[in-house]
Amino acid sequence: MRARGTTLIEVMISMALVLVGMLALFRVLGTSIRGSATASHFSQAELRAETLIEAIRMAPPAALTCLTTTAPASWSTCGASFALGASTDRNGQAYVLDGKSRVVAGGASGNFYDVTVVVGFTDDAYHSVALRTGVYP
Amino acid sequence: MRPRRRRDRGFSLFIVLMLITVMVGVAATVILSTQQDLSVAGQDREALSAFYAAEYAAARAKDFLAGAVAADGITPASFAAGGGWTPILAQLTAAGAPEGCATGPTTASARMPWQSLDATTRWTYCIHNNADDLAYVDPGGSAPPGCVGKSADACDERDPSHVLTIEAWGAYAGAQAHVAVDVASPSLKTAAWRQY
Repeated sequence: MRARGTTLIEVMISMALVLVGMLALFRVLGTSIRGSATASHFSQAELRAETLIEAIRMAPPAALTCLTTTAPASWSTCGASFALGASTDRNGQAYVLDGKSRVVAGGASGNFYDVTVVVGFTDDAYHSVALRTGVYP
Repeated sequence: MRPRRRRDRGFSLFIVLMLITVMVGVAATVILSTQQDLSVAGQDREALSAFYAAEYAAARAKDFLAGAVAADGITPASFAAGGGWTPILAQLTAAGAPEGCATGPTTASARMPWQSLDATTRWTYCIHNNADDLAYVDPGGSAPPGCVGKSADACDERDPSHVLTIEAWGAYAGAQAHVAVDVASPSLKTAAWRQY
């Protein structure tokens, strides 16, 4: 009888340990999946920011002047290539051109443009990727 | 029966320990894989930010050159007839101007200290005569004539294509980028572009 009871306790302890281990494993897997998704979102946002900043670097002076006086949300009115492109990715994650994006004319010659492109997305929180460069057309 | 049961005692705990070990292994692999994903994505962003900071520096260098061209009254006609970039090279080499390069054309380094673009991004540049200029390649030569008594660093008279090189650097956190831009006219259009 004593031996049978010991085995039952042993099995219960074992099951409890396995349960705790599996709960911890699921937690780690959940965190990992969220981390991978966030990394992927950052890469997608970076790709969109890079595409847009390249379009601005190739832009003629008239388009750059237009961008300096236009709010980022309406940059596409200065040229179709200044839109963010696909605003959602394959998984339905949405990306937006952040209002902090800007094109500022200046420099000693007045022909230098300071360009900042910020692309944002919201998953568990709001994140953004900012790229900044200069253009002398 | 008794001795066998004693040997069996603790067997399920042993199995559980094995299972937990496997689970810890799986969890560790998953964590490492995620960390690697995030690290690669972060390194990509750092390299891209450093590259665009270098491009920012190149554009600032062109802006400086535009100011120098205007100040010297250089026109396309006077540029072609009067030794190309020679007047500006003379300014860049004289008195250690920050926009000039500290060393020769093949191993150029900036005199200008790093400038901050924001809290984590920096840029700098320097401008020099192009390394393929005949004044470097064939010093003392006479065809085409020019640069008599002048340093090759400060003379563009023997180069019919009149090329000037902008070396631009950008840095973001641990990443650094270096681009070189050749300009061959006072309009400062890019004639050639290289990334190192």
